[in-house]
Amino acid sequence: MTAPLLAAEHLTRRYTLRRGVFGGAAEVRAVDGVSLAIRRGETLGLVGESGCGKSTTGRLVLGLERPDAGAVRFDGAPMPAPGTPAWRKLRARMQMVFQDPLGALDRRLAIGAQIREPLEIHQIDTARVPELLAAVGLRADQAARYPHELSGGQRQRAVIARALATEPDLLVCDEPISALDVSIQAQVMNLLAELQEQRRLAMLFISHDLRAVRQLSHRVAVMYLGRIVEEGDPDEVLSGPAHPYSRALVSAIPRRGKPGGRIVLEGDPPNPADRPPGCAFHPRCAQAVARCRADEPALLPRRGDGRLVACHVAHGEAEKPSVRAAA
Amino acid sequence: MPEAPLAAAAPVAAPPQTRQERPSPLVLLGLCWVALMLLVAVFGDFLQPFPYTQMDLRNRLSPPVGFGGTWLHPLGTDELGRDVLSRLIASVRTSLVIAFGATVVGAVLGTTLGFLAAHFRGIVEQAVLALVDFSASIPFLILALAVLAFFGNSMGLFVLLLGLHAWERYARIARGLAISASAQGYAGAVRQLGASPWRVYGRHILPNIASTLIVSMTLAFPEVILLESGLSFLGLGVQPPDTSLGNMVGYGREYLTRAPWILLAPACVIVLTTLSVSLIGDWLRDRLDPTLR
Amino acid sequence: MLRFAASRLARAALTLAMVVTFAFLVLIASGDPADIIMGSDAPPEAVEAFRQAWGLDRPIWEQWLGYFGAVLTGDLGRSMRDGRPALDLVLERVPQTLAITLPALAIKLGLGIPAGVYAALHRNSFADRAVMALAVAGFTIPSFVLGLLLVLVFAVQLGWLPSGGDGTWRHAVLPVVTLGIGGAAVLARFTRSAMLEVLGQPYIRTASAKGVPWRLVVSRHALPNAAIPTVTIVGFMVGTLIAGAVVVESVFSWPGVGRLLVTAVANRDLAVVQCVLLLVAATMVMANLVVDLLYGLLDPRLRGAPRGAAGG
Repeated sequence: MTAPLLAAEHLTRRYTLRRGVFGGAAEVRAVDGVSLAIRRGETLGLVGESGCGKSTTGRLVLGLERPDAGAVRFDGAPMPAPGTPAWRKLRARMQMVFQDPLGALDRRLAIGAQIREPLEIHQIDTARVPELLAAVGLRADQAARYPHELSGGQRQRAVIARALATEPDLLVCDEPISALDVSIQAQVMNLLAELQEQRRLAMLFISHDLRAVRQLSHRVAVMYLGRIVEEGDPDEVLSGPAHPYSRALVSAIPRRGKPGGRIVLEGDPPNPADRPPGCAFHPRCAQAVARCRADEPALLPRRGDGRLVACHVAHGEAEKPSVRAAA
Repeated sequence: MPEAPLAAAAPVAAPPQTRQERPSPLVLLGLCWVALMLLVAVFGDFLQPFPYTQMDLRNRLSPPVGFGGTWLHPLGTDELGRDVLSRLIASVRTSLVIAFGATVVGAVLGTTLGFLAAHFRGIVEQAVLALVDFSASIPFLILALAVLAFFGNSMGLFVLLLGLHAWERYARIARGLAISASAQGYAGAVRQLGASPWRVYGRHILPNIASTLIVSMTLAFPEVILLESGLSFLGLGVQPPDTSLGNMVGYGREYLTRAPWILLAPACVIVLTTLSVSLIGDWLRDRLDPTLR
Repeated sequence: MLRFAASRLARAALTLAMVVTFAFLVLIASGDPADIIMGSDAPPEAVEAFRQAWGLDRPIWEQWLGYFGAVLTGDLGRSMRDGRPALDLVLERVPQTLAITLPALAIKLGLGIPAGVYAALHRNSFADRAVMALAVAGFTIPSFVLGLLLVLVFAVQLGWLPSGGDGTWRHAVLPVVTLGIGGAAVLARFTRSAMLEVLGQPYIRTASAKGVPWRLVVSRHALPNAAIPTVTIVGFMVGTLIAGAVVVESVFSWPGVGRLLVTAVANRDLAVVQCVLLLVAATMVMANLVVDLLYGLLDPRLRGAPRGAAGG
């Protein structure tokens, strides 16, 4: 068993909100004890709703922010502090693809120059730009175009080309297709799949779209309020989700044929500054039992198939399982 | 898998290129005047009919051509027989040099502080913001007068001092735009590529905010001229034998009744120059950056 | 609202503290404070006593505290010229300055605001363009040029008004007009912008579409909303009353605080300069504070805004 390329242990990231000048401080745990590992050439999908901490996790994994607790190790070595020369050097091996391609590009420079930039920074041969353009499906003459002259899909391709310039080992994609038209999304996803295969990239694919995640990932992790609540093989998780929240997410995927079967979560979306005690999901959970209000469940392998899930009920530890019909 | 080329796809954001619009006649006039002033400032030495300190005692207080004077001194002379036109030319040069210098000093200082605040956040930012608050709490004229009183009046100090009058505008612009560029924007992306802060600020942020800064500088420039001429008028700015526009008005004041041309000529130049640069600044702002009101 | 007021008050106090510190630093940096404040004519024993009293042989931060204390008790040194306490000298000139700046403020408000509002309501009409042209002239012509021109026309050529000094109400006319016109121009331009921005808002169109008579739309919706940014600039003008008067008082030889300042600067009478500086800063900070509090009253959106932000 080779060591994973990326290993993150118990990452925690807290923000402090002050309410007014004389108000007290509220602590928001954007990421709360997240551990994950990605091996070379493997893609981990990270799903969850807005505000669950997936983007923050992505930034922590890249070392863009320092965790308040926990550690990130890349290729065996600890992640250097952001902004240091060591960290900057490491960027050649790990890159990010952003959600908003227009915002991520400098509107004053042609995309060819922007794709060339990482090569200049890391002092690699800059003649590779045409090759990179071709790899993402852009024409060589488009190198002279400015970001606003391209379509959304083309811009994202440019961002991907720039991210690949230094041949990184790890790519973190933070909602790379959310800002694109639906028809373009498929094309970009196919591109990513192709690149993943050709270059044996390790990827952290962050999205709220389960189907996109399924297409690319070797494993998927579901996040809720800063914690991973389930992790496993994408097909297995999608066909048989173990955690109540995953079940709700999966049931929301539009499907042809059988209508109904949609689980609608009760209760309000969670306020990260006001975590419910015990299991964070329990106020909205149809299966919650007394223990769920008291103890936070740990992410452990389930009896039977070994699926990693953080749920008392899923582990069969509830004394009186209350089964409220949810289908 | 190449995408079908989308020729001239509808741009999502407004292009940085400006709209082609003819400037109004007033703006054109303003541009001409400014060009004239620049020429005078640069080639002043060759244009002066007389050295500006040269006295012609036989022709003291002679009026300008058309009011009883001769072409020898087209704009008249002052109480020491010095040619008003020559003094005017020298004054234009002094005033413009000071105004340029001060504007640049202010812009450089303000932008640097703004960038420092945006980059380091935390206590550096708080310090810069406190300085901005402090700046806003004293009218600049009073501050300038106080500093002049305590530290005297050398030319270098004067330019530096005038430069400070609008620094917080540049600081605010630089800080605001740098912050928004950083987190999710292009600056954050480039930093993520491994660029050093110098590269991020120098190659990316600065060129992107340059047009906003330039508009601010153009709008601040006339204020510097007015400040400098006000201070010089009070006798506290440019000191003799150097001459500036405000200076001339101040010294010409005694002869308001007998020889008004001594102060009218520089006064006109001040007004026309300030007006021209203001018009140009407004036009530039409308063209390049309507968000800056 | 109370929280809001308290935070603004704290900020004002902090700014004042900074100004006092600044004055202190300038004082320290420019030489021996004892000599400066006492003046070079003062007898050596007095200077020494001053030094002791102020603790100038003590560490810097103690001196700073001492300076703070002196300022708070109003002991700002003595004028070089006649040895009188600087504060007294300054305060006795304040009424003179107010005598021209307050009427000027009335002109600025009474002329500038209506002109700006009118121009905005009749956009692109002749009146609008005329107002705008006059406004531009008003702020590109420096006050000393305007003043001298007025003297040239009304005092020299027409002989209607005296050209300087004080004494009768006639002496005040030209200074007041000079001050007023410049400010009215700035205010007109600003009010016009503020009104135009408000008039362009959707809720104005909605009110008008609902059938509300235009007069009411303007008076009930447009004006109050345009008042908010206008309050800022009026506050600014109040704060800079003295600064604006500096040049004009010199032009007309009007014996107010501004003129005192200019003379003091020319003579390096530093106690007086320092005193005026602190007085002006205090006025400005007070004016800003009042504006901030008025904002809180006028604009409900500002009162609830939480201060401080989360990271990231």
